[in-house]
Amino acid sequence: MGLLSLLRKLRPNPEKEARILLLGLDNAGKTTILKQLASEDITTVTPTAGFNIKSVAADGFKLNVWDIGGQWKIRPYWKNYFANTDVLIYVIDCTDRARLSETGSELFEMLMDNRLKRVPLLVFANKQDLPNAMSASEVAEALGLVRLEERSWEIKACTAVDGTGIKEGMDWVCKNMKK
Amino acid sequence: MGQLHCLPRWCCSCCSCSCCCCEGTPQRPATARFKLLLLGVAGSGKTQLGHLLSGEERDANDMAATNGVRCFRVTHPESSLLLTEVGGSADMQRIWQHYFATCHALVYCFDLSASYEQLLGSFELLRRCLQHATLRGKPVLLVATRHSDAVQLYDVEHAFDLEQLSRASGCPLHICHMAGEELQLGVAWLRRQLQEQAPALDQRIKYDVNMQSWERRNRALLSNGKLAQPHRQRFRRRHRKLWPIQMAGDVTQPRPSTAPAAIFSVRP
Repeated sequence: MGLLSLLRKLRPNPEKEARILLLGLDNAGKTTILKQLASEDITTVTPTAGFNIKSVAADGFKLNVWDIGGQWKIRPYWKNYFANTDVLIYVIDCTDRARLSETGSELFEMLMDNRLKRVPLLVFANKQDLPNAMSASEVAEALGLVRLEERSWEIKACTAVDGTGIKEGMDWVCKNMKK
Repeated sequence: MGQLHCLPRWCCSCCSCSCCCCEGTPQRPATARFKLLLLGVAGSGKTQLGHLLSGEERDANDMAATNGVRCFRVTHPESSLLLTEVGGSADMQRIWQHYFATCHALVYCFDLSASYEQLLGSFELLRRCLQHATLRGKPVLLVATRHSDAVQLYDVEHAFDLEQLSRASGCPLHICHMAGEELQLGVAWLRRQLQEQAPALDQRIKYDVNMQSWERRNRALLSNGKLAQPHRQRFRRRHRKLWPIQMAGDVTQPRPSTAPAAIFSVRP
């Protein structure tokens, strides 16, 4: 008892731990973003058929980032991870115009859930390095983010393969954590 | 008996005037919610103003530009305000128009310490926003977020011809500094405007939102090819009947006065 409480006191800010969900359609770049966060090699990324979890330290927070596979078959399992989420990160492939409406409807269906009611939303507009990528505002319009009411959201253009924009996004996550 | 008779009548009268006497006074503060849109060019201090109005503490290292939407809630005994701040970068200015229809009023920030050209650009942007049909006539509060010794607010008012802008767009304008006292006066002015125009604004918002959703639906159906367009051809085709109906007054083919003789013909 005495030793345990002493150890607890020694640990800096044990309550500053956050659970972050990283979601999006398949081939959006979720696992690549996760690997970039953990500074791992991204050449061996394969489709996720389950989930990956990584703990990242940033700004004194311990971020537990859950990356859940986005294939159509396993999307029904997303809702099992909603409880106690602090920040929701949604990743979008900006070159995939054909599936924009699909990704938008998945996002809206998710946001209707009560457990995600006051969770801030960060949208990563991924694959900006590709030639016909959409800009951030185009994505926001096409997804219907402009129709969200009473929810703070932020959209960040990023390129997961070289890591641009991911740092800024995680900074936003740290500052807008659900209180 | 008399009491029994009295009770429902009292109840009835209560229900019919619920809007003004029994439910009205205690519930009005909870129900009067106004949505304000907080706009301004990038770096004009929108997020700062939002934090100031809502009384939230702004994180010292939270100084990055907003590239999305932030919501602030201002609670007040009379009416609660819901501030929606949209980022001001050139990319985000493209999505401002989607928020015009649902807001009751606009709060527009500008940086008083900026150069003349920047201010000119900022007010040009405001003018373009106010020309939008869904924003016309809604009250606008202009907030000078930073202080400048050289420029006074009436200079701004004259230099950018705000009176003319107000008249052209039909929007009541009020200009104030972000410093404590003046900002409170500005917000009080805005509240008064909102209270006075509340029914009209609510009606207007409902109309605009319905109109937009109808248009969106129409567009989606048209692009999917599911909506049968009633007048695809230039000229309407004549109404085609299944079989010609003989009109009563049709005399071109008179009825034979005798029955056809063939019936009675005897075979040889």
